[in-house]
Amino acid sequence: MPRSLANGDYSLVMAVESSSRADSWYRVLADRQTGALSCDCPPWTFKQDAQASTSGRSCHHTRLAQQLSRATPLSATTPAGAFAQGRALASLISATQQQWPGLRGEWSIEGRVAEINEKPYVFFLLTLALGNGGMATGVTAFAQRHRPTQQHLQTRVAMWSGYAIASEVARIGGFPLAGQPPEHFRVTSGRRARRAVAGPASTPAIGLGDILRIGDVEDLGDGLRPTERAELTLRLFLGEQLYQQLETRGFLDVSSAHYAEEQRVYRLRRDPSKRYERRVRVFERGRYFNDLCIVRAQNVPEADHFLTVFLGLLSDEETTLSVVKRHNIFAPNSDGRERETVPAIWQPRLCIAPPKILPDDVLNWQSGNPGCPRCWLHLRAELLREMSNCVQVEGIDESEHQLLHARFLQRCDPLADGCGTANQPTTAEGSHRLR
Amino acid sequence: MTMTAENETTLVNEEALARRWKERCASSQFSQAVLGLGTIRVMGKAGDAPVQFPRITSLDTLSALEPDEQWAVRAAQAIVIQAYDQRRSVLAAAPPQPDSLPMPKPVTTFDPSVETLLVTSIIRGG
Repeated sequence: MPRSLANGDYSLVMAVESSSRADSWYRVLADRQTGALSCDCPPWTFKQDAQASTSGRSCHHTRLAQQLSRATPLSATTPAGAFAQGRALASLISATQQQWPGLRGEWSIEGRVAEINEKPYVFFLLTLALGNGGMATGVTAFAQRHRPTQQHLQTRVAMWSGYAIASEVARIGGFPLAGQPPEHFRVTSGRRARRAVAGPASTPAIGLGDILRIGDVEDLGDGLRPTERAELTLRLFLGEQLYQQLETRGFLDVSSAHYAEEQRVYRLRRDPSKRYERRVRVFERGRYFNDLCIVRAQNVPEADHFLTVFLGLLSDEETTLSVVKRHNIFAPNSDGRERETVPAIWQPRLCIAPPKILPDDVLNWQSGNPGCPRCWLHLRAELLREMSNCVQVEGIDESEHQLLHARFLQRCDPLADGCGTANQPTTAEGSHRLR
Repeated sequence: MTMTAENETTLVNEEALARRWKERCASSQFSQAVLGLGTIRVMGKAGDAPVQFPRITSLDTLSALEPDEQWAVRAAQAIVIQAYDQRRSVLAAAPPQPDSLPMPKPVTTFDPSVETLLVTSIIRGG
């Protein structure tokens, strides 16, 4: 069995956020047998550290961890300012306690700002003093240039420092394993990287560390194939009326809340063979404007993808559109010759912007300040309740003419046989516009 | 406070707790604090894997639950945290009533009282 953190061969000394990639994490590990430190970062992996001694391998992170383990004071540290205010720090402990409810004892936390390779970092040292005299610690370091939000701090401290403490407590209790560690930075070849996106071939055991992979366990013992399961979910979340409309007409229209002035409507079309993505047709003021190509970035059935885009445009239009770059926008009819005959009629919706959680908001997080994110969440929930006709539900008893036309279009659509995808090259590109 | 062996087992023996939670769901014998069963559907190769958890008014009442129920809440919470970590959308999206429209709400923190959550798939421009 290969030696690993999950197998208990190493202890997690510190998790450090990459200074170049936000929320990408290097782990500084200590070999439990030899005490040697290692790191996931490229300079350690590829032995590129110019300051490494001839006898050992090192990087900025392992040198810092060594300093910490020797209790050598870090140079030029300062208190972590706003991050280290009592309430903000207490929320980090609370988040960790919530994620690891089995951990009992006296918690404490300290926040400091120090530099790694001349880049400012905020360090949090979380400590759990056990009743029997033992002590477990976890250090999480955030790159300041990524401007971490309080929520980001809470989840990552709970994740990394919580894991470090939990595994140490388990080790003290005589249990070498503490489950799967959180996802961390890996140096991967192209093929491995692609495989990582697609997910593992099979996932026999699910730990909390990789719990989202439960979505990749294909045999759930319900006798259904993944496509059947996804179709049922689509039907469930659309409701019978919308689902039947989609089945009959092959598309659903979503009126834009953000581009109300342009009376924008997204026409989400479905591949008749239910295998491939279709490009989203965009209408403005009733005119067919362009196509947006939005495809799957993970291995899911087509019905799941359709539901993701549909619910995404309804709930958080900006985030859903954020995946569309200039080169993902195409001229009308770019993935099929069928002409639009059913008018795309925009209907007013309230604009629901997702809350922007900025570091300055952190201090108000749990206060009654009406500008605090939590209050925004509440307000947004209230607004959503009032959201009116955002999806055009037309009567099932639509005119026979339209139905016949829709069926005709399906037959003459070159993609109807499933030979094309939303990724196919376009015949014409122009009128590119992205807001 | 000294860590008991039971607490340590709780930490490491997730499989046993998962099994116990599954049995509890089958028998419908829940602690008094449980409001009902909530479901998180995680989109993936499986189509959608439903993960059930005991609905409770808030995480403050977690200690009133049995260890396997606590584990199920923790697992549901971990799903939401990881989804956020991987920039996947989590939506509170109840199936609509007849003649009404879906009203999905983006979720950023786990609310243990919610009935249905959906972790949507990852999309990109093509």
